[in-house]
Amino acid sequence: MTLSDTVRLNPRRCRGALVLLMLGAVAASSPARAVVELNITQGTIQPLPIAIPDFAGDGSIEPQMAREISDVVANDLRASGLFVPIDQAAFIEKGVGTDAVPRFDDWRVVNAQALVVGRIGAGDGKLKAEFRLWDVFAGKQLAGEQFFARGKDARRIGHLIADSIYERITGEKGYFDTRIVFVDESGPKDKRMKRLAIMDQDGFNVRLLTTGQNLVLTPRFSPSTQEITYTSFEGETPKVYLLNIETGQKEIVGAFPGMTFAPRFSPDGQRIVMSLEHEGNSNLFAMDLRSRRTLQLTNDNAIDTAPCYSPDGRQIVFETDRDGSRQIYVMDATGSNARRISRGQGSYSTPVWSPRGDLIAFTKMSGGQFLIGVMKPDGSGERILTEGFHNEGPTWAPNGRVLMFFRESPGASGGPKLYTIDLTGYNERLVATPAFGSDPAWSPLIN
Amino acid sequence: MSKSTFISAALHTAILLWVLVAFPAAKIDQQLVQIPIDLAAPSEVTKLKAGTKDAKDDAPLAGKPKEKQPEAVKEAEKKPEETAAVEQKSEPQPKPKPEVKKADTPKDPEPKPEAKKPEEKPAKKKEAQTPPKKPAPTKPKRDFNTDRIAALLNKIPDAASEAAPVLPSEEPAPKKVRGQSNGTEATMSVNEIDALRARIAQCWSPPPGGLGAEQIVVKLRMKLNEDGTLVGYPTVANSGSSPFFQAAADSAVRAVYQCQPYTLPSDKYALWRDMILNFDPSDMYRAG
Repeated sequence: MTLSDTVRLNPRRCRGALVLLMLGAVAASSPARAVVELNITQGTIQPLPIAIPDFAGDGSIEPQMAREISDVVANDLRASGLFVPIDQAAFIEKGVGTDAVPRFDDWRVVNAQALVVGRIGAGDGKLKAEFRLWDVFAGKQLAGEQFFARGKDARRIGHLIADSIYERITGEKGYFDTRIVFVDESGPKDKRMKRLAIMDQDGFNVRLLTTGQNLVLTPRFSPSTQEITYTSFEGETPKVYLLNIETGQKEIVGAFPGMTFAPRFSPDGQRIVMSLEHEGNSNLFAMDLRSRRTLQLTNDNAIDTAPCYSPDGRQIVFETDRDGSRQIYVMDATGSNARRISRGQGSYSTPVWSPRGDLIAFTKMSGGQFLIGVMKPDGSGERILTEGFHNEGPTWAPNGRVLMFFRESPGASGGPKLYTIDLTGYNERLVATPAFGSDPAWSPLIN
Repeated sequence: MSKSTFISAALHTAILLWVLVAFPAAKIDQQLVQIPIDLAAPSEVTKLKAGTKDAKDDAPLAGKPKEKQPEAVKEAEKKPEETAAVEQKSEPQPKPKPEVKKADTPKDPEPKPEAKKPEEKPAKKKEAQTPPKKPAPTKPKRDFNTDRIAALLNKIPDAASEAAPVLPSEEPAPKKVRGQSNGTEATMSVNEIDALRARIAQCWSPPPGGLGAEQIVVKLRMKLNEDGTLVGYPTVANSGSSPFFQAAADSAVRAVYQCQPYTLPSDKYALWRDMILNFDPSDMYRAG
């Protein structure tokens, strides 16, 4: 969006000018050096050109491994849509190291605004990585860090470096050192096998968590990222489970008579809020994981489901058909003070509160389409980010700037795939998964 | 025929004239209120600032402020050293935040073989120096109110005291510079200002922003050589604690760097050799 600036004057400014005119008499009698002051209110939002030469190995590791880490950094930054890594073939200064100040002129020529140099080594069975981020135009270092990690975490080092760069340049926390838990779907459409799977945010390191004997739905991360909760159709009725992804230990959450589903952790990880079905209705319950005490939050003849806490834990957003069609409601975490916030045409489902608290993402069904959108917690400012045949199940990146969701493609051979989209509605990207994938949930930053 | 026609015509004309004078008067009046001020405003602003350049250099300030100034300078001079020291210490601190796999983090060597670029130092000094002089910082600067004007006028003595310690070598005492003759004709036209703004708008890519980032205004002071290139390092004249401010300030500095050299009318060099740019992204975010 290139916008040329115009001198826009409003009455307030005019008044200002008038006052200035009057004060001008005073100013004129005072001395010296005046400074012209200009307001720059328009810019050109464009991705930052960044140079990321292959990281160097220090001799103790294969150069290939160092290069792989810088590739991770470049791919993460590119995928964010906010950076454009420059083609390495254009570089003039070759072999720039972490111990020397780069020749900034050489980098200005290739139009780089930022430069990342890194070196990877190994010792004591650990990887050691260091990098520097330089501002090419100002000729100064913006960041410089060292990381130590186990050898198998080489890609994580790349994600951590990408997070540092992202944070330094945008002022906002990164989201690259994160994982996604999702439902891996394989086999023909009428006989789909659904298994829980976990992978890095960029689609690497996929690991299956369940065998596929039972249908699984809506996995969600605990804030600790070691545990997930999900719905599984084991036995007669679907139940909410808790799974430790490190140990593989699994348990049913609560001993409820009916079917339980749509679980989600509270922001402190101490509680799980979920739906409990009873005689055709479902109400919301919160269960304290330590005391195992449950608290009923809603009680009506409707289907209340998809509850999600606000990041401060004080409110819960959920979907209900108590008005006839599915709509989004917000209530206090105690269950009181429920009020409807969705007001547009169509029906709304799967609300998810942004980790930064300012927005709620949802799926909207309208005119035969499934859309992904966001609105403010009071229901105002509704904005559709993407639309199509079937989009569903948004989940937030931990910095509240990117959403992941799944999109079903029509037809016998069709199936769901995972996508990400920026909060602005731009930069939609397919996330690579081994087979079809649905119900993604984004982890918090791992640390 | 001719007589009656003439009388009729005369009467009609008279009525018409009367109507013209009597009725639309109010309308015209209304329109007049806004337009002339509107049109006058931009160049007026520039002219006024330019006008202060008038040769009367230290006449009015001579008495009172002069006594005050040394103090101010002393204070300002002390601070930068302290803060510079702190900054130096804390600079290597961009250490890894405790990460899982990370063993202890050895000191970042921070090689910097060129032990600080010469241009970098003054920049820092200046940065440190600026806070005290900034009385009214991040007001929503669209409100063009008296506070702002006061702040603007305040800058005049500041600038005088600042010029000496901060950029001594690069800036010879403001002698006679081209275009400085007298403030009345030396003004930058709206077109020239527009062109400069449009140019910087092309180079400026503000960070995408997070919660509250759109409120952040970065005040940048840049000095230009006659050929339109930057003199030294543009300085950030305000400050903010949020990480968004740092990102926003960097983006503004990058923009100003990238955009040089600036093509500006050389006969008005006195006007543009030293400028303050307020980078305010709020309109952009609102539109998006």
